[in-house]
Amino acid sequence: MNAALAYALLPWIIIGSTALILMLFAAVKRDHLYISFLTSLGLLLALIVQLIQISEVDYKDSLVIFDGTTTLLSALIIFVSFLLSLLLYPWLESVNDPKEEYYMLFLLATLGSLVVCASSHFASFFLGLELMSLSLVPMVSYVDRDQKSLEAGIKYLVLSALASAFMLMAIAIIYFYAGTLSIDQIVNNSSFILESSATSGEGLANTVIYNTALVFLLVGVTFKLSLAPCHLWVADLLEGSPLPTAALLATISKAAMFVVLIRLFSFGDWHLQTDIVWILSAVAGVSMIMGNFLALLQKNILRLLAFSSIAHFGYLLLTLISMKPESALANESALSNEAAIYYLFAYLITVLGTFAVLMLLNTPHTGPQKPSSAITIDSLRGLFWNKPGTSLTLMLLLLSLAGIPLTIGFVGKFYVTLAAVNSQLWYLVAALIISSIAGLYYYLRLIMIMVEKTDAGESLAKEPFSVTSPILLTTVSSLVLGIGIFPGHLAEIIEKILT
Amino acid sequence: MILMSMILILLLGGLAAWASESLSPNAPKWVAALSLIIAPYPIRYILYDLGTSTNEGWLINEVTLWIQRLNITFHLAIDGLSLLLILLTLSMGLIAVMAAWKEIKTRTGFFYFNLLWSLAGVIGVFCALDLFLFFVFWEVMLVPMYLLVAIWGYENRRYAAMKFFLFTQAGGLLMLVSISALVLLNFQESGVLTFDYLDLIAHQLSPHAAFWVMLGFFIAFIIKLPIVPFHNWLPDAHTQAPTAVSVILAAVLLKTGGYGLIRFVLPMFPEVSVEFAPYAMALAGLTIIYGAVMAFSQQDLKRLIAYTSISHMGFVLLGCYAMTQQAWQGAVMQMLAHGISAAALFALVGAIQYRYHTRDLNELGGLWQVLPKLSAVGLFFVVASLGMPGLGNFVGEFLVLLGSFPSYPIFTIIAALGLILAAVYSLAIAQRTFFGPLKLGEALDLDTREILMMTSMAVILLWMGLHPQPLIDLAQHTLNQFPLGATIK
Repeated sequence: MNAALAYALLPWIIIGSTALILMLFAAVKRDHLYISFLTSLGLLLALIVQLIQISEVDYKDSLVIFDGTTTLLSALIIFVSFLLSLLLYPWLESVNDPKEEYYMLFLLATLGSLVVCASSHFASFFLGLELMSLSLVPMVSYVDRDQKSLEAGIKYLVLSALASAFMLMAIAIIYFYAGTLSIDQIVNNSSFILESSATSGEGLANTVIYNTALVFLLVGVTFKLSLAPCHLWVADLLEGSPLPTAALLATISKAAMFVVLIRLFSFGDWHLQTDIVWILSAVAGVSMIMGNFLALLQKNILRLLAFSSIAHFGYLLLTLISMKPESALANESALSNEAAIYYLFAYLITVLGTFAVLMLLNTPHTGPQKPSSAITIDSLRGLFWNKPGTSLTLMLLLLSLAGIPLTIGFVGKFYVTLAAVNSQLWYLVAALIISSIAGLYYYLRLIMIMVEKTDAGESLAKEPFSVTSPILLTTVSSLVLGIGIFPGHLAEIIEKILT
Repeated sequence: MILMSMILILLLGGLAAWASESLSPNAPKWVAALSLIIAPYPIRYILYDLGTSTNEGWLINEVTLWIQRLNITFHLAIDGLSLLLILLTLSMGLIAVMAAWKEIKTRTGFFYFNLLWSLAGVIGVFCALDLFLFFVFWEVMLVPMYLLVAIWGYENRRYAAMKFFLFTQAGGLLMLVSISALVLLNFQESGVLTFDYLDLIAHQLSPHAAFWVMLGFFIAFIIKLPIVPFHNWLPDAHTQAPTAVSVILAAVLLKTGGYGLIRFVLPMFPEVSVEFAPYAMALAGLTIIYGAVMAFSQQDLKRLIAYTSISHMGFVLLGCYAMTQQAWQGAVMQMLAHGISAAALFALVGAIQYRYHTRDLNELGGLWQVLPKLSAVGLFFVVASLGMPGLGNFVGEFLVLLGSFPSYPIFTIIAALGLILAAVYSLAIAQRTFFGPLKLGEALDLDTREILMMTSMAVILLWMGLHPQPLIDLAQHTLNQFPLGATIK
């Protein structure tokens, strides 16, 4: 291993060794506080290293690629896990089962998503993917006092194995045609199939088989991103699994997968393959509409967030589809890529913040924990008058998810609109508008419930003072508002990294 | 920084009002009133110079770079038209605070916070000359407005607030798509990425593209105005909103739609607008008649006035698309006069509801016997809304009709029929509320605060009716830039 690679891999090494140290430490002495501290420390260290690397590292070999996109999104993923790790301690403290293993799985899942994020080869991609999914399975059913949680665990295990099987099959067929597993060479090597498609019977058969492989691959990808029509698991899973796991599932596992999709499009030139663009357009449109319309009637906040995340990834897919250059109004080639990364950024920050607030609200100070399935919309009733700070932050986050100006979510949506209009994807723009309005309805419904006047509010038990919650709330709201009001700096950073 | 500081005063005033609630539940209203009074301070020298200067061009024009990546600027500027609307906003804001003085008793801090923030958003809309910035203000003013209706409204407030937000947001998204398309098309031809109004106005799109881009803006603005068939959020929002919010909604918020048409749609897409004019005029005629007919059949006094607002806003649309100077002047006058007369009527209904806890026309009646002052003032504003010569509304409607007749006689005749219907519903209000047998008990008549509020509005209306020339002069420069002579082929 040469020095450049070692340097590029430093964050991985730090996170991996933190997991190992945790394992050794837990074997000797189980101390929750210490282990929690080590986890956060490891992640913080990795975050600092990754941030330093952002503009420096440029490494590429057959398995991994560290360019601007990778380092920026890796930093974001580590940041998300770091913030979540801070919330784990008070939450796990109220769990009766062994707590230390959760941190290990947490770190391994993060590591897995980093590997996926940096992969430029199907082998490394698959390794990272399995590391991430297999760590998430026990995390989903970690706290087994709830039947729903076990159900969710089994569901995730079976379905994610199925998705992996589809992808493996796809990878095998692609290898058969292209003779390589490197993402950037596949299209070049298999271009003869596309060119000779209609000329002979054999060529036609080859095209059909090759396209089948691509569809198999897309099945796996859409499953992991919970896009329609492979979205059915996500609501049950988010409802059934413990809150921090749900947060991981909704944020970093999807983000990593999306980075792979970005890479397939930008390096693999997938935007030139009209079949794929067509399929993905349909997926994006259906996801936007279905996600937001299904979310309308949910009573559980986590189910609602699950459906809303389907729609958000529909919007994100729109940015990828808009990379096709031929119909662009303005020749700003970086725009779509930039839009994708900005929206992903906005989504991660906002969803993470929402989960953080939900964790703050649902961490019991005494007694056993509420299962996630008990976090209903009604439990927020009158929150604004009892806990104005928490509730204002949550409102801000919901407005950001809805894409109202002065929040980071709006800037993301603005970018998506700009990219979509630039590529003249009018049908998808129409879907975006319709689904945004439906989306607004349920976000507003949550806000409405929060500001409802209640009399029961005054009798709520006074909660003990804690330092984490105000710090966390200010961090989240200042990020959402700060980038929302001054989006320029982030836009410039992203633009610089992409060029 | 002049305009920005004016907006900042309101924003900070809002925060201060919220914070002051912990001192006393009465403190926020004083803070709110105070911040509305000092808000015009930054533009004082413009107000001094009004009589003497020529009012040519932009009175204030400030550009600050905001988002460098996309070349988005914090471009605030005002001309005569914006200035008039800003003054309307601030004065009606003050009226709204006075209307809420006794009515709002719970969570006062948050109420005045939202009130001031929505007014700040409206002023932002009237000042913004960067399309992105305009859109931001356009959307941001909704959130506090939504909270105002959703928290302090009447029985069915949630439904109304939601409807209001969704309708406007739908228009907003269409506008966002139009803005994106406009900017990108401009970028394609000129190679300059800009969201600036003054740059984009100089660029003419191809007719086909211009039509679709214009349509996005047009729908967004007529939803706000509101014009049939996008009107049906307004009666609900008005009926459920507390008095002060109804005042703001009628006086100021609806005017952002008319302002948008005059500032953006007409000058940016002159040729398409001319071609589109017959359809817009037809919608306007329909709105005038439909609003008036619907108003006549309402039992709820607030709902009735809401429908009269729709009818009156039809005149604004009619004036905008008549493409003559008089009609545009009329549209501006109509916006200002309606802003005041509708605000006064809503404040009156609020006063009646505060006393009798009802606004059902079947239960009211004979109020003149017990509340002579209130009824007299009420009659004045009812007559104003009917379009009595000598009051502001007459000037607006007359100029619109005068300006529209040469180019679109049929639509103008239809619109003029609306005036007869206006007389019908206006007199119905007066008849069923103030005259006839008294059905309700005794109540206190208007107090000093309410008399002050009502007479000030009455005086302004009278002044607008008798001597409208200064106002017309002020808005004239904006209107001069428009494509003239769009007569029918």
